[in-house]
Amino acid sequence: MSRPPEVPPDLGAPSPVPAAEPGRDLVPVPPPPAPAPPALVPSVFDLVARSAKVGVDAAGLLATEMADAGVRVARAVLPPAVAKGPLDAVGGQVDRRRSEARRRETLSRDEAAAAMHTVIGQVVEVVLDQIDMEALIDRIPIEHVIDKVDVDAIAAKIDIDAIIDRVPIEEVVADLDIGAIVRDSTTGLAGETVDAVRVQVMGLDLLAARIVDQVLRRKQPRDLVLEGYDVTGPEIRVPREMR
Amino acid sequence: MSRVIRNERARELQGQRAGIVSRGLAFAADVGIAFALYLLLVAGVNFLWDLFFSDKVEIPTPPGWVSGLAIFWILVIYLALGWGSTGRTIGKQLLGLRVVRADGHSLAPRVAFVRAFFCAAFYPGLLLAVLDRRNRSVQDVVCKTVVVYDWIPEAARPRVFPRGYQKQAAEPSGQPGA
Repeated sequence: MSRPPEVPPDLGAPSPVPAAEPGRDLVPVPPPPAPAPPALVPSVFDLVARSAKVGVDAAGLLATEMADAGVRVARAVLPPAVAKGPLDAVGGQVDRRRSEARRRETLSRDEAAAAMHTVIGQVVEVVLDQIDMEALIDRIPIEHVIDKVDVDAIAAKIDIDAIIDRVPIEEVVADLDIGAIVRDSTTGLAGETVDAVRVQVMGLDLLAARIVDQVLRRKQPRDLVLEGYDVTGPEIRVPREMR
Repeated sequence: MSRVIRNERARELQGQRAGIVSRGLAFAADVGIAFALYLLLVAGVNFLWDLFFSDKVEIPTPPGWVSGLAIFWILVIYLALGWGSTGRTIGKQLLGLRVVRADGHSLAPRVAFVRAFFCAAFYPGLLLAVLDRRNRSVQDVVCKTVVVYDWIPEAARPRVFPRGYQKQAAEPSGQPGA
C-alpha cells in the first residue's frame, strides 16, 4: 500500500479513446470492462490437470489405507511386547497421512467437479453460438406441411352426431337417481358419526339416571315411555283452533 | 321410513323421555349458537354502519349488560322458533332430541315461547330432569312438555291432523297448514 491511489486500477491509466476528432462522435466511448481474472474461470486444461490430481490423490489415499491395514495386521500377528512401540509410532504416522490424503482427495475432487461444470457450460455455449437458428428454421418447410394438411377434410370426416348417438344419455339419466345420491351423501358418513355420538350421550343419560336412582334408593325404574308418541308414526299437526 | 338406526339401544329408546346429559349438551349448543348469532349481528350492523357513516370499519365491544340482554332475547326467539315449528333447535337436532306436548303432539307457538323464556331465564331448572322420575325439568312441569329422543326426521313421516279434526281438514283443498 505504498503506491499513491491517484489512478483507479480498473479504469486504466491512459484512456484508449483518443480525443474527439472532427466528424466523429463526440461522446467518448467508455473503456471496455476489465476482463475477469483468468484464474477464476477454469479451462479445459484446468479440467485435465485437476482430474490428474484427483487420480494422484486417490492413489495416495489408497496407499495410506493399505499401510493402515498393514499396521493392523501386524498388531494382530506380532506379540504386543515386541511390536507395540514401533507399531504405535508407525500407526500414528499412517493415521496422520491418511487423514491428510482424504482431505486432499476430497478437495481435488471438488475442484475437478467445478472445472467440469464450467467447461461443459462453455462447450454448450460455444455449440449454441455455432448453430445458426435462423438458417435452421428457414430449412423447415412449414408452409409446405401446412398446405398439405386439409383441416376441413379431417373435420368433415368426424361425425359428431354419430358420436352423440352412441352415448346413451337417456339411459344414463334414467339410471342416475339424483335424490338417492343426495340422500346417501347427507346420511352417510356424517350421519353415522352423529349417531355414534348420540348413542354415547344416551349411555351417559342412562348412567346419570341410574346413579341418582341408586342414591335416592328408588325401587321402581324411571317411567320414560311417553304414551301417544310414535317416532315412526304420522306427524300430528294440531290446528290453531284446537290448541 | 328412510332413516335407519343401527344401534339397538338407540332404536329402543326412540320416542322415550331424554336424559339430563343429552338435554344439557343440546342446551349448551343452543346457547353457543345464540352467542354466535349475537356476534354476527354486532359485526354485521357495525360493518354496515361504518360502511356508510364512518371512515374506518371497526367492531366495538358493547357493554356487558347490553350483550347479556341481547343474547338472552336472541336465545329466547331462537328456541321458540325451533320448538314452535319442528320441536327441534339446532342443538336438539344435533343430539337427536325433540320437544313435544305431554300428549305427543307438537307445541303451539305460544307454549313454545313461554317454554323458551323459562328455559333461558331459569336454566338451572333443567337440573330437575336428573331427579324427576319422568326426566322432567321445571320448564317441562310448568309448560306440560316432554323432551324425547327422536332421530327420525319429520320429512320421513306423513303429516296428519288429530283424530277429531280429519273431516274438516279434508274439505279445504291445498296445503293444510297449522
